[in-house]
Amino acid sequence: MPTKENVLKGLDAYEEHVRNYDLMFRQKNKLPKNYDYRPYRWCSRDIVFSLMVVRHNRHGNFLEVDVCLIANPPQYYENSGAKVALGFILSEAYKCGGSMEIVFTKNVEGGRVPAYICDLAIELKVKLKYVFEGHITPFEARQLYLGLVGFSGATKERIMKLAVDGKISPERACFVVIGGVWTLPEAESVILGSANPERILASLSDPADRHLYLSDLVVARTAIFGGSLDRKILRTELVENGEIVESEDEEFLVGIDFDAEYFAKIYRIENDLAVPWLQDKNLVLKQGQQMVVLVRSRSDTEIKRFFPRDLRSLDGLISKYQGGQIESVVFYLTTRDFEDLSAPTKEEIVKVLNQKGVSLLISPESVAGLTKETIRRLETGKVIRQ
Amino acid sequence: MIKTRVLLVAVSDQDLKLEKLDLLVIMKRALRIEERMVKGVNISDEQRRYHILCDRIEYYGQEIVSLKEVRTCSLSTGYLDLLAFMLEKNAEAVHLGRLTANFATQDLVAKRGEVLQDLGRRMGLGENDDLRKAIGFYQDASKNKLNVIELHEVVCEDVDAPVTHDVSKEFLALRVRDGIVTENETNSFVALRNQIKTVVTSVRSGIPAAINFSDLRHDVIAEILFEYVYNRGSKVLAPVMYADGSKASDFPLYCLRTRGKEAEFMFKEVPVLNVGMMSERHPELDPKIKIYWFRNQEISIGKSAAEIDNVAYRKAKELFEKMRDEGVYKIAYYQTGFQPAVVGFYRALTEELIYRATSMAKLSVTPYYFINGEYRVGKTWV
Repeated sequence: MPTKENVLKGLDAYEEHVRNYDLMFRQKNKLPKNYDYRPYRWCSRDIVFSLMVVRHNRHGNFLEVDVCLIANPPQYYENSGAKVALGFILSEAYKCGGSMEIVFTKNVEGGRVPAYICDLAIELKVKLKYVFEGHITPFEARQLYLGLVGFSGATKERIMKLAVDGKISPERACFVVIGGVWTLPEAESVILGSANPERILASLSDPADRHLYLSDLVVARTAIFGGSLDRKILRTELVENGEIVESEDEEFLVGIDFDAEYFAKIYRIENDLAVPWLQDKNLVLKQGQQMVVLVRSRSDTEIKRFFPRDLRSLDGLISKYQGGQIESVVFYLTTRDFEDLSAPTKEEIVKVLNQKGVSLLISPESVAGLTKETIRRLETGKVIRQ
Repeated sequence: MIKTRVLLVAVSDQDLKLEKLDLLVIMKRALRIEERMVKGVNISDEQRRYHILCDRIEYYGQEIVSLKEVRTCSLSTGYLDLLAFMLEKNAEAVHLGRLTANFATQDLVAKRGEVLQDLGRRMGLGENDDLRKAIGFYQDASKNKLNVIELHEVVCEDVDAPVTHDVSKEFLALRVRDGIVTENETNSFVALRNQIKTVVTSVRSGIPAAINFSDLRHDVIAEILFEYVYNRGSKVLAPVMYADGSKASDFPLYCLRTRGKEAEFMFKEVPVLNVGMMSERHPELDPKIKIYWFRNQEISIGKSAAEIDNVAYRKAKELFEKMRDEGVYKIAYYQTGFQPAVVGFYRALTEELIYRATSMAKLSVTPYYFINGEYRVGKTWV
């Protein structure tokens, strides 16, 4: 834990940077470059997690951290301030295109790696070799980044395999999640559910090469489609002063897994959950049950052509999950393009699903809307560091 | 895991007509966009239009398959991997035959079949089942004067074989720098010199590293590159990366020898050609400049810095190649700051000078750096 003296020194340095920033950039209506000092305050609502000042040192090609003050509010997960700070530092180091070496200046606890970050490194089982010199090496930064994002074991293994094969840098896989292009469950769907995740995560396919681009687009679109169900399920509403507000940091308790074999999402229910997007019925899943959802983002013509194939996948899912120790309910998630099918086709599909004990979920998302969002994500992924 | 099978569909002109819509018209529009995309101007808009048209072709292609009697040929999920492999190894031929496009009008069908056959033979893929099926299908479609649409069939197949060994050991053995920078140099020239030295040492020992030219002064880039290009030592191809994360082509270092007195003699009587780096950036230069090397509009089309670097490199290479038969050039290069264009230019210049290394010196480029309102002369590349 930093001493009071260190904290006060850090606060003084922070205020000085804020004043300079105001003078150099805000008042002149200019944007800073990567190599300018930039002060940041990381908060959730009115709780401060971290105060940081960083810049890319273009001479040494590393990220220089001039202020790093961390708080660990007791209302949040343990070491959450350090997680926020380290996530930001590593992402900023990657964004600036440097070597991923991090250097803490004398203003940061006298020039050492902050104690809270050392604690977090221990938690992530990464040994830091230059704590008192105030450096994190590119090798250590890589291990910390991969540990910090929270990928599942299977996903981490795939990322490592891709890195060993020279297809993607692990830093890139981490950055697209922390940088907000993909949510963690979406990224996991892409990494585990695609034969070429590196092309999607690094936005490598050229739209002019239609075959490869479309193939990536379909996987990415399905991952985003699954992500829209995640968001719907996770969203909680709080009542404050008689008004419903959505909380940015309070989510419904549910664990999300991914079945790569069927491209299905598994939701482990930890609170009673009213299943969304059901047709003409209500269903509440109880704590301890799991919701198994076959995710398919298809247009109406594709639904018509490929529904028999989806049925075989559903059979596979049913035999894999039903009858196990955890009670599973199977769903078929489709887009609202389903509504464009003729009435008899729709009825037939619903009838067949009912016979199998599968419930139909129709998302308000359309294939066109999802495709647009996917293109946006792929374009963003290309220029995310700019 | 989602994988994609490709369904080849051969359709007559007549069958491409659907109620009020003629798919052939859409295909021809898409072909015009393909031509425009090659030029690279307003690329995002063109890509968006192309996507819309391809999407229509695919959507109505599915309808045609469901409603009409048409010839089809189903290829395995390996076909797209095959295309990706061909694209990686021989992009020019793949683009020439439009192998990654999802349709081919009647007049392009035969060509596509030929390119597939030729590439397959050259790359030793003749035994590939999908390739043989595709070639046969295209030959047949060409004979019968049919158009071809290539549709995707998304299938879920088993996940890739699980990793049976501990991949984490291999991962941790990947060579990544585990040391620290001990000196904090504040002189830009020395700092870039040190950075390149570190990268060269890493590359020579097989550790991935790249030179980051972003946010550096353009005169620093040119002068330090000069040092390393003309330095004695075994040639190194140094990877280049920009702050936006984009990777440009490698830069050749330790690859040129300084010319002796003969070069001075060669250029003694040659008039200087004043060349500005890029149009529309410093109009005050216009009276002094005879010609601009890059047109701003042509260079500023890339989205990432590496794309700009690549465009600048290709453009410069094209111009240098043209100049080979035009006699002796003594260029005063009025350089302004735009890092990727600067790096792209010097990469092309270095390669050109390597090409000309064994013949008489006929090309000399002396940079003049625009710094604080005046021009400072740099070292001459010859």
